[in-house]
Amino acid sequence: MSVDITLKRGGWVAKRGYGAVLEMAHTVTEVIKRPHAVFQGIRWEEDEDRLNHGCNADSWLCYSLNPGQYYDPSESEPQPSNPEEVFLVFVNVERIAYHWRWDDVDEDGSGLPRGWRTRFRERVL
Amino acid sequence: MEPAEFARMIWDKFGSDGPFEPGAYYDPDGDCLEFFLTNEAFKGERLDKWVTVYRGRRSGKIVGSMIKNVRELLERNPGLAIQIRSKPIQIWQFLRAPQFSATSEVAVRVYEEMIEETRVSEIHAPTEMVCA
Repeated sequence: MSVDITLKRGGWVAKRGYGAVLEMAHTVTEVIKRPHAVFQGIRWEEDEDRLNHGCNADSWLCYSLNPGQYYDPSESEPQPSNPEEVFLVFVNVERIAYHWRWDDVDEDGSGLPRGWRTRFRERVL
Repeated sequence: MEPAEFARMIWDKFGSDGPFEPGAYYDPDGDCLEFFLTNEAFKGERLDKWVTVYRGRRSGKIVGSMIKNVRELLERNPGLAIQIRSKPIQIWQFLRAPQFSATSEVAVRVYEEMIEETRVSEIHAPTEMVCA
């Protein structure tokens, strides 16, 4: 299933440099294509979905993976990523990726994002 | 479209080799407001329901933030929406709204740190968020 990134967000990302664009193109794509985990129902963000989009918060997804490398915004060559971190991509009900970032892994040794048991309603992958 | 092709297309259309400039962006698809003070690589730290803080990997300083649930925040603070419609405000002023709903001293202190950092940069809150 495909995920879209709006041209407007692409323009915003480009303001941070070519490395940020490469992260959007390569890292986000890799996380969406082969996630280590996918969570459904972003609990801490459920209100924004219910109030603003008239749909169920359970439909919002978070894809998680440590792709092994990360891009500095101002550099075009990737660097090895920290194994204690994961890259998260947040996708709304319209399958638009509206946010992505690096976050810490949970202390439980699962390789899943910090606080994953309470942050999300369920793990679907 | 392949990732490399996508990256090239975006960079050709929007990219610039000029110096980084602090700025803010409202994304209606996520109902979130994001701003950057510097261009340092960062890691996210969820502060509360409203804010995720971006901390620089090298400096440990706040390099930006994402404010979520913007429409709800404006609904809870109607005067803020009126103010933004009548006269653009700066990000540090906007941050007062979620700060005053913080329930821990730690969160309040992080908000204060963000406000101090953003006050210097004079980034305006995007007016699109009150029209969305």
